[in-house]
Amino acid sequence: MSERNRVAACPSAGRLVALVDRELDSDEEAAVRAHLESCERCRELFSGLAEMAGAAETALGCLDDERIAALVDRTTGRFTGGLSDYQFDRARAHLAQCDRCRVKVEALTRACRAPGSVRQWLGRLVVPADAFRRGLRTPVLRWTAVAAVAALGIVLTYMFGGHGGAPLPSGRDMTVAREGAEREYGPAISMAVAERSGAEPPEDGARRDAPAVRPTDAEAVRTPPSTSDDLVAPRLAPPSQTALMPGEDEMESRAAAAQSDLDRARKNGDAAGEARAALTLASLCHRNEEHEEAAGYYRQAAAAAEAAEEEELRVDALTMLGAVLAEIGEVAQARQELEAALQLAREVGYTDGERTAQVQLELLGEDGE
Amino acid sequence: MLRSSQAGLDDLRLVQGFRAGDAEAVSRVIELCLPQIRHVLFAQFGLSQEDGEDVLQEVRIGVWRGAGRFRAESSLRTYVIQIACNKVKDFTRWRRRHGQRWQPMEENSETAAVADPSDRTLDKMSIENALNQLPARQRQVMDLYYRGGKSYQEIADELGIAVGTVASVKADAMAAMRKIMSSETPGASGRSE
Repeated sequence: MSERNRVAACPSAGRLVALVDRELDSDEEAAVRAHLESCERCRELFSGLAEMAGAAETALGCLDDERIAALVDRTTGRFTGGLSDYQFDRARAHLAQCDRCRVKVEALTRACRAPGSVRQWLGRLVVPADAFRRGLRTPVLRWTAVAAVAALGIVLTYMFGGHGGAPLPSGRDMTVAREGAEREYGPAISMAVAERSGAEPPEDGARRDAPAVRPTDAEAVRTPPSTSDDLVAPRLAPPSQTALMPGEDEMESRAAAAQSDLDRARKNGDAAGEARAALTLASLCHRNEEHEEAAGYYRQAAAAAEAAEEEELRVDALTMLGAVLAEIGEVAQARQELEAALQLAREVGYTDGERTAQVQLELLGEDGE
Repeated sequence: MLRSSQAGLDDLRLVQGFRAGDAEAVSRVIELCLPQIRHVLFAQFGLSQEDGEDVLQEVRIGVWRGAGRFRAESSLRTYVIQIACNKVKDFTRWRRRHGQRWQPMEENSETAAVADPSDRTLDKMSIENALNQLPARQRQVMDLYYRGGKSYQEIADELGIAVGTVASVKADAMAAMRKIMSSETPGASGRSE
């Protein structure tokens, strides 16, 4: 090959930098790497750029207080919507090469474990609203693995709009509710799913799992997320758009309103209204870990929905009934309800419901193993 | 507008108020985090009452300073606790060196970092110095990439340029920084040792 041809084939400095930063797709990367094998000049240029990039990453890429907090929040599952996956990967990659930031992350992780913080932080999971706490056990600050985000989508959707003749949640409502659930309940949900998937403890994960190079190549980005990843770490809108969780007073008033809706619907023979009100009450009980009471309301909602021929409503009720039964260890019965929900969802072409029931069944499958 | 006195830490309005540097919101955030800050200072790090109160004052100042810059990447609580951890670190480092009552520094974490020989301070200083001498566009791309942790695509979208342009601007920036650094500190090449 002549000198002229060799030079013409040389990649631009921009492409070399993109290789250093792992920003090329796999074909391009292979081509540039192959070129480097045979071109000493480019190899030297590349190594200079790589050295500079490493120094810049260490010096400039140090995580500021907020990024450190966000990393700890995300690895502990406390708040997962603040960083994009890319930012999270970059921050972890930086930790792998920066002792100073790693020490900060470890210190913060420890500090956040301060006794009492979990209760403060999850405080809103506990709803001491006497209006709907009837003879129930002390609420537990933990959602079991089966109460995954998709299911919470239903809980939240009905908690917010499921009573008083409000329209059924659309797919978009469900998505918004799910995102809200993830944002507000991120801790419990992420911990539950991490627990389930045998994930390493977060602080270890942050230290040991940090990749040596940034996993930013197009392949990694294009890889479809697994079911649990999909649930646990969706790309969320910034936490500045919707506030889905009500305060305790509002929870209490919703419970009271739903109870009154339920009474009225039954009196008027309005099966659809009864189903919605029962689902709202069930969701509130479920949120408050009042499993048996929740199951009762879900059953009532499913039966009323069937009578009203509100099939999507019935799918949601059956799915949540399955979820709550699984949580109290009634696995066989839970499976039966979930399979019924799945079948019905398929029959009526209710894709959101189908997906939710499917996820619940998958989680149940792991339970049974 | 914001009834901060009743807002919880996860209240959207409180987050927005904090981001805007709203005084009532910032005070409320500090108030809500106070029990845990105190726990970190006194129980975890074992500061004396007197030292702890001094550091607590610094934490308050740090939170006030950070409020307007908050990007809502993390929860407010974790962010505030991180500020508290930094201040404790500054305090213990200072105490180790001086063994007397603490006199907090301005922008503690950064100045403390410079004073710490274990940090790669020379690199950091020379690289930052070189960065500051770059033309605006190059500096912008480097900032977004390293400090913002953004991908080429995100930078391209933000600046309204092609991804390939991001790569070439970054390459130019790195070449320029290398040149600046080697002319200013002979022998320096970004290597830390």
